[in-house]
Amino acid sequence: MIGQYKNGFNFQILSQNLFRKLKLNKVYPKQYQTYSVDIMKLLIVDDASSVLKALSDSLCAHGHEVYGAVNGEEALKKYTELNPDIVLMDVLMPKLDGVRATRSLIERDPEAKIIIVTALGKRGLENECIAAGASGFIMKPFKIKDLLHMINSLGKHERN
Amino acid sequence: MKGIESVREYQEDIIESIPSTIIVLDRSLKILYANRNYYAKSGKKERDVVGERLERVFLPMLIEKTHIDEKIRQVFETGIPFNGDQLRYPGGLFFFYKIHPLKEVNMSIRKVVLLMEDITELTRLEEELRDSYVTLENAYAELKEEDEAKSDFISTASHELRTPLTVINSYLEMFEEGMLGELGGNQNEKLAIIRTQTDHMIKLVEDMLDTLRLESRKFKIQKFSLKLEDVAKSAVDEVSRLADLKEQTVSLNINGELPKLRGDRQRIKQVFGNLLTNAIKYTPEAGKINVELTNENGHLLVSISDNGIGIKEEEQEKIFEKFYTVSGKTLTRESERMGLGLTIAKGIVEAHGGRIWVKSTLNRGSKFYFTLPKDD
Repeated sequence: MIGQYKNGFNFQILSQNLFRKLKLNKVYPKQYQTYSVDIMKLLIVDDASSVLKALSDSLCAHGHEVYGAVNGEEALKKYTELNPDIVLMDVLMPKLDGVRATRSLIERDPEAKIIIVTALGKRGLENECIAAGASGFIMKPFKIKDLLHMINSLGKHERN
Repeated sequence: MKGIESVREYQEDIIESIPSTIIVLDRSLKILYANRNYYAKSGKKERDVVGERLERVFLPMLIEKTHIDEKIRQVFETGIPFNGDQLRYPGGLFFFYKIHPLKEVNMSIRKVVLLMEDITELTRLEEELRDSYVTLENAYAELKEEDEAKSDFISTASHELRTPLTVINSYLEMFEEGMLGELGGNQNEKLAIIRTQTDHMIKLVEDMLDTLRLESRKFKIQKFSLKLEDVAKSAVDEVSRLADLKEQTVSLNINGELPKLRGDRQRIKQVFGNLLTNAIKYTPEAGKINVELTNENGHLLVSISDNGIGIKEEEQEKIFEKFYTVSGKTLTRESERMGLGLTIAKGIVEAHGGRIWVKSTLNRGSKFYFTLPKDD
């Protein structure tokens, strides 16, 4: 699956297939209405392919348009290409870690909306991420409704 | 120096009976006098000592090592006392010596007194103490290293566990919300079991990290003004399903009007949660659990009592230690925990400036108490 991410496969396609296949509108209209106010373009950055896949499946099923990157470096490239509304950023990653990637993204686009999604329980990490420019911080594992709530409250990326 | 007049006639007796060595020498380092203590210590006879030069009486090696002869000459020249050094005798004896000038009426110095104190026992004790200190320091360093390695391991393990748990939890939520199709037959029941176990695993990982934070004093609490009864109610609500499974009743008694408290809602709820889950776990089916909130002088008092298996007196202190679980009860795998719940509860209560303790009678039940500060 990860190869497909690298080749630019995006989860919008997967999501539409999934919707068609499962007739999702019938299955869970309630959750869909509760959490997804706007359909967002999301970029998930995580070196664990299983996390990328699971989060993408879940967020696509909630109606979002989801893309993936496997490290900070790829995230910077994809951000310029895709202009996502929100970036969901892991911290511990090869090549460029999440904190440095956040800093670089904010330098390029001070309005970038980044939510740190990490398994790392290090003291002061949240403050470090916020100082780097992140708009949100959530510890793995989390309830998807908490992440969706965060995504919705950040809203779409308004570009001038 | 008035009093000395009254003992002048006994000065010989005093000098002779003193438990230190006194030797008087002249400018040519000839020994003029040595007290009884010197002869007792050295085993020498007076005729071999008095009138002899220092280097003939003292071992040459000793003089070479300490340069005591030079020090004596210096005192003669300067008139300044030499205030002491250690002297090691062969055979493991240690002495502390001082050289004092004896001034004549015209202030010239013709004699010095060499005072020597046997400090062998003191030195031995000091060395023993130093050795013990080094041993203790090494043991501490070793323990610290082990502790750090253990902390690193727990930290890495919990990090590594969070990743698969995120994946499991994501798909589980999708199943639960019907996003992956409707489930039929007994699939929902099995899914609920997976949910319980996944939540249990998530709690374990969080407990592991909390314990680490408590130990390294990195535990952060954010204090706000709270209503204790609200926190208690929501904690009781959360465990009600668990209590229902064992047909237990959990009641909440609020004694009168309670003032607000100052604390961290999530963390205090965690204390209630940990104590209530324990009460449910260690109380047989159809048991009774009671939560009581009281306004006491200076603080708010919470008690959580059950009519469960109780805790042996000798175990009542230990249960707050990490990884400790109450013995004498065969627990099902499902209810087994790592024994961190009470350690964390204690850490949270103490971080609020409160106290936690237990009163229990074996086979009758337990009553846990904790205090929290009022909001001033």
